[in-house]
Amino acid sequence: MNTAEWGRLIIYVGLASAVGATVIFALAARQQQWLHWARRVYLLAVVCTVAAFGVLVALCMRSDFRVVYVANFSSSDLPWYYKMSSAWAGQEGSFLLWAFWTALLGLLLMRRLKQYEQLAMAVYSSILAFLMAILTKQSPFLLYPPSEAPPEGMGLNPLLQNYWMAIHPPVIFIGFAALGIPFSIAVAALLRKDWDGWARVTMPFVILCWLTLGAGIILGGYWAYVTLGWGGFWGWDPVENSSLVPWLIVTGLMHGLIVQRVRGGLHRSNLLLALLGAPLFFYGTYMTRSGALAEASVHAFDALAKGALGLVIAMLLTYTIGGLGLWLLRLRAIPAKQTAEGVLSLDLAFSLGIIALVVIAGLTLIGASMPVLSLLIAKQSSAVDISYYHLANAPFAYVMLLLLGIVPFLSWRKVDNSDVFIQRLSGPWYATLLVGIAVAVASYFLRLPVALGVFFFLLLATFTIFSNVVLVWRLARHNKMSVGGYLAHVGVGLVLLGSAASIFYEQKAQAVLTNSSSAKLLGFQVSYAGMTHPDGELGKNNAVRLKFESLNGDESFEARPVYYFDTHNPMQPRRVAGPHVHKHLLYDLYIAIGSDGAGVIERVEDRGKSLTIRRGETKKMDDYTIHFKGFKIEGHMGDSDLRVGAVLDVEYKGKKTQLVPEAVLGKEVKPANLPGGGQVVLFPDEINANERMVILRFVGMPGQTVMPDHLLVPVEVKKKPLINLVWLGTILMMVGGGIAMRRRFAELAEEQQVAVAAPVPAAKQRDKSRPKPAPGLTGGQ
Amino acid sequence: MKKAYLFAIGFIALGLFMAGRAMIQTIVPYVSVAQARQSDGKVQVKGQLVPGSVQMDPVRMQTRFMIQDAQGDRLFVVHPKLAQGNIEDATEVVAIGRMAGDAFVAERILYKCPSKYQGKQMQEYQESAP
Repeated sequence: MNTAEWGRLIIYVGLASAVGATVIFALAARQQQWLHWARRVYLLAVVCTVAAFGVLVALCMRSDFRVVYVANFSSSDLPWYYKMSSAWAGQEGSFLLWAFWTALLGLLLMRRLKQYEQLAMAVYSSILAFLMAILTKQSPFLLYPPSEAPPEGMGLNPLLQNYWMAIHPPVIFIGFAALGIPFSIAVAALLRKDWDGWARVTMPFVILCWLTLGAGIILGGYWAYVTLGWGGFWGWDPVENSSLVPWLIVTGLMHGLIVQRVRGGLHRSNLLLALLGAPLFFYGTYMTRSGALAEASVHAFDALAKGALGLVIAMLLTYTIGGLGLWLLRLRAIPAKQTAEGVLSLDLAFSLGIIALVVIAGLTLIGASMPVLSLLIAKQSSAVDISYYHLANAPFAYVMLLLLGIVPFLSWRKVDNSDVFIQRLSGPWYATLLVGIAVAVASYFLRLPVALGVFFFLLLATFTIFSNVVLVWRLARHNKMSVGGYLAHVGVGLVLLGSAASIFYEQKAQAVLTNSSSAKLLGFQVSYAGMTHPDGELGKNNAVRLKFESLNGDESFEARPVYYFDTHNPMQPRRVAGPHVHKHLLYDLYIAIGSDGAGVIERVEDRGKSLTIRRGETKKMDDYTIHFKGFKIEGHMGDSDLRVGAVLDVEYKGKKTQLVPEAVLGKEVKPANLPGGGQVVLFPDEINANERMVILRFVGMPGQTVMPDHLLVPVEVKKKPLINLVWLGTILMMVGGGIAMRRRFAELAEEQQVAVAAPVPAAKQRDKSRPKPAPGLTGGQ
Repeated sequence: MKKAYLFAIGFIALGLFMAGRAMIQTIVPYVSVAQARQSDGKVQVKGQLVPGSVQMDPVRMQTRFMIQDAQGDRLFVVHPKLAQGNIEDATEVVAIGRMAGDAFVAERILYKCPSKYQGKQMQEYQESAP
């Protein structure tokens, strides 16, 4: 047996032990003595999953092209780290990565579950079992028949050869795997009818999930920004949406659990949110990998093998129906305590914030599902424009920002004295007002674009940043561990401020450079200075050298946008173009060759002199007098070989002739020979039948200078102000989340120790031991 | 308490109303070439790229090509920028835009190349948009 066959075998053993763990953990819920065995069987499943992943990585590292997966996604000339990352570049590998993290997180989880262990681990192991089953149907360990194994692999997609892309999947899949944790614990809680204990156990894991999923999304966005060349980091793509929606739900859950912990409310909605995250990601997996969107769009991926797809659907249905069904069944038993004491209370702010997050998730989900939904509802498939996501989500985003801005000054109890509230608010408020006036004045004098909606959005984001910075500052002096949440809120404000400003105030300019001409773009003189690998082949890692010199002489640099042909698949050389990002503190210059990184055009067809003429008109062109009599059309509109001719009466040195240059649409042109040398040509795209107008092209005429073939480099430069705030914001979000996670894990450990020391229910113990938060200093509760 | 509830419900209702309006404003139907010719709003047309029909025009910053839909109807598409990547090798193209005379002006195009790459992220299709 060779290594790949071992891999297949290990997957089967892993599947069997994950199924076994599910069953034995469930048994252990009734009979404690099974628990010991359940843990061991689960451990075996973990060993198998880790080993299978290890085998795949090893096969990729060894460039074993007898394995179909390795031949498809790797090649022997890759550096070791990209060989390794090709292990998760494909469909099968990414499922294995998902299983790998699911298995490992289970170990972390198992130790902290205590009385939840049996039921929660039974549910959690079943998720692992599903993933392993999918991997038996869509195996990364398939072998070519010995005679057909290719000598070299197709190589890793050049777009993925980027260190951000190498670490994005491993990070984001921790998040996807972690989505199963709140789900499993919530199911256990519903079965045990324990409405508070589960929230404490779940809390740190929910933050872990939020953190890794969020970091993964950000890494993906940053990768898109520096590699794809269209200049943005978020495109509301189905794949992006399928990770954003669960992340928003988890964000809502995280806040709901805080309310439950401090005020003892929101039991029902927290359980519901915990049950929604994982199924929503299964749904996204199904949508993006099933070809369900392929009916209507090219957005879909290579479809999964039939058996594997069936399992994804089974997984989606099992956990959606199982989770929601159980929740509905228990709904009346779950306590519904109303806690909000007034309009100006933290309870209401949290609730509204959670609602806003959930609604944004829902609207995004509906938008992403539209191609399928519209087919079901209206029998006509439709998709929404990207602007839908902005328009639909905007009202909720405004509310969310406003809430984030005032939350630091609210307390759980009703604010009796609204003067105090207003007084606390006044600092950030006046600071924001000043910024607002400054932006307004700057807009007026610098003639910046103005839109009221964007202006208020920017101000609300600024307000959020100021308020939370003030609170972080105050909290940090008392208890450093309590600043996490508010630090993350500063990050959210920065991300939203940076993205809105970088999109709205973006400036762009484009020009076509040649060997000999330069252009003025956004205050720079830009010229083409050759290729970095000028030996003609445009081999790997070639870049175009563009010299930028600012017009006022302060700055000059050479931009090197990547441009080469990837030839791993000799039948389809693939053009690879990537942008060059020239960073400044306050803005980025985003330089792409071609608009959207199209690339260099080596040769251009010279279309010659043009003459625009309507039917019935007579015009002069050099020595020719031309009368356009009308069209001659053969075939029907829409035919593949529709021929359109322009009937011309041409007079040249007193002699009249009739010429009919023709165009066969989509195929070729049939020029007509001019008396006196040269030709008149009609191009299919230069016929305007509605206006009865054509553009005639004259080539090869005496005395006409023909432009020589040369290199044309279309350059697009975008100036993106304040984009760095987005990256700074994401870092703060992650640091804040990290602090909060540490704090909650520490709390959980402490509570579980207390619970062991004294057999008093942990909930009561806590309420006595912890002082009520002081108003206005509710940090991170 | 009542007040808080009303507040929340009013907020959701208003938001959903605006979201519904946004949906109506931004929905773009998938149509055949024949339907596209009749349409006067924004539509998306999916078709096979007619081989050899791609013209990149760096002077006017345009990409022009023909697509043929499942019914065999052809449509001449003008995209007002130079498309990214290997549109020449594309098989399927989705053009999003509106008719202008006999030509279809596509503000966005998505296209799929017959590539062996089948990874999990965006490489499956390429996109060009302003």
